[in-house]
Amino acid sequence: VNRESNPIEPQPAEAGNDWEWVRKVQKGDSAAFETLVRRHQKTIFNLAYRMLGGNYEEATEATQEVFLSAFRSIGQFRGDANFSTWIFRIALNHSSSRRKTLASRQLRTVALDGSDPVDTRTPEPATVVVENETRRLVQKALNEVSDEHREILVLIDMQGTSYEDAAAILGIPVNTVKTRLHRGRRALAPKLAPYFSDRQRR
Amino acid sequence: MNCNEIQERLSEYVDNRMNAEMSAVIESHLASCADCSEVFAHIAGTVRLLKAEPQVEPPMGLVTRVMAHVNDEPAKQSFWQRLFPSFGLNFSLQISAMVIVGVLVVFLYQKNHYSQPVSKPDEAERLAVHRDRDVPPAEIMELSPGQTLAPGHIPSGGQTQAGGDAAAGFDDRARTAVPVQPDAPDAGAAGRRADREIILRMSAPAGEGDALMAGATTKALSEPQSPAPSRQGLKTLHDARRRAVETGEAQSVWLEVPIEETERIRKEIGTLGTIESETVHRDELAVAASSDKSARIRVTILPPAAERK
Repeated sequence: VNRESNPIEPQPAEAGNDWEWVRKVQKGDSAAFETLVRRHQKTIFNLAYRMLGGNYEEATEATQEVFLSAFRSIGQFRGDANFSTWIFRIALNHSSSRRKTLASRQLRTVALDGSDPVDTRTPEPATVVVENETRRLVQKALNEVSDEHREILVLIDMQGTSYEDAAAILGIPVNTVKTRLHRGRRALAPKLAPYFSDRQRR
Repeated sequence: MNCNEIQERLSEYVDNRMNAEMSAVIESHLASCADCSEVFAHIAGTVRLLKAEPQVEPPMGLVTRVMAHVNDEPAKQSFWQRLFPSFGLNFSLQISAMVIVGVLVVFLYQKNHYSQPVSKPDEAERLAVHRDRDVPPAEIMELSPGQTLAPGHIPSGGQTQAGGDAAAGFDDRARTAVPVQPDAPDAGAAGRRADREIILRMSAPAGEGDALMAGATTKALSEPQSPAPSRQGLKTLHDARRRAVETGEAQSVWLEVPIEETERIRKEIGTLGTIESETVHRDELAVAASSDKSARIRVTILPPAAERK
């Protein structure tokens, strides 16, 4: 009886259809969670991929864990934010703690052989060499800026998140988003400058 | 606008988040300033490179894999589903049950806490005392050796009847949450009753208890302004929690907490499970207004709600 959804229940504005699926999951229909996974797997995967040093396996693992932890705590989701905002926040938190674990592990590796820690564990298949080369360089540059800067650059410049949504995800004011993004770009620019085309460089 | 101010706004300019007027100011400045133009080229070039990065395709079957994990999760049941697993009780019956339980709780509670000491304790009181005695006295003695910490016993000026060792002990305990023995004379009928009662439903099954405990203790220890925070108190709580898991029965613990620490300790208790109810007989202000230096918190720990095998 109490599994039926209540038709008079107010739907939060701009929550889209995600909210309906969340409600189903909250009422015990775990299969409904699949729709949410399907809709958001690519963005979450890419977010994790960029935050975790461009490591495909790590990103795969992280994506699974992010969705699992979202499923476990979905009862706490009240619909006062977008589901995507909520799950982005989980993904960023997860990535940041995973990064710390990896960083301590990589420190040891680097100390031993002095090699570049980027992508050492999963060499990418050399399909499109040029494209992968740029990706590697961009990723390497991203790995070198602070977590705070990487986070905002990935969100806004790579995932296309708006300033406002980024503010909601990170729990900071929009003005802080602006300044942090600007500082992040300025920190990243010198690392990427050699790869701007001549035309871009003026 | 000087060059610094211009450069600070270049990201907004690149992102088209500027009104036409401001954009015009930036453009005319860039046309005549080589330094700012260089910064602009860097920011625009960076944004272009980042935006040009293609999205990476997640592995095939990721959704299936996630759902396999999801389906491995224990089914979530509502409180009422757990309480009445197979009867299929309808909602109004559940509400009735809830009202009856509520009335009983209020009845027992009033019996238990508002009756003055009388020659013969009534049933509810005996029940409560029995609960408290379920806590093995040995463990409590270990944690507050020899003495209870009823306020009258806290010495002023560090002076005690029992020498230097005891003075240090008292000093320490006065600052932290300390378990007290509920049935000791000072805490009994003639003493104070709890200022605050918390009923805590443990959130974790027994297996995860240790991790939780480690987490809570570490957290408590890492708080900078609270030297040796409720470590003892927490230990007692964890012991009680362990007993709750082992016996499947509710366990009661008394804590004596400095007034200013009450809120923090309360939060720490909250990390151990879900606070199902909290009754405040005297809030911190009221305790502070009295001559007492500390608040008494009685924590009742209920075993985890997960189905037992």
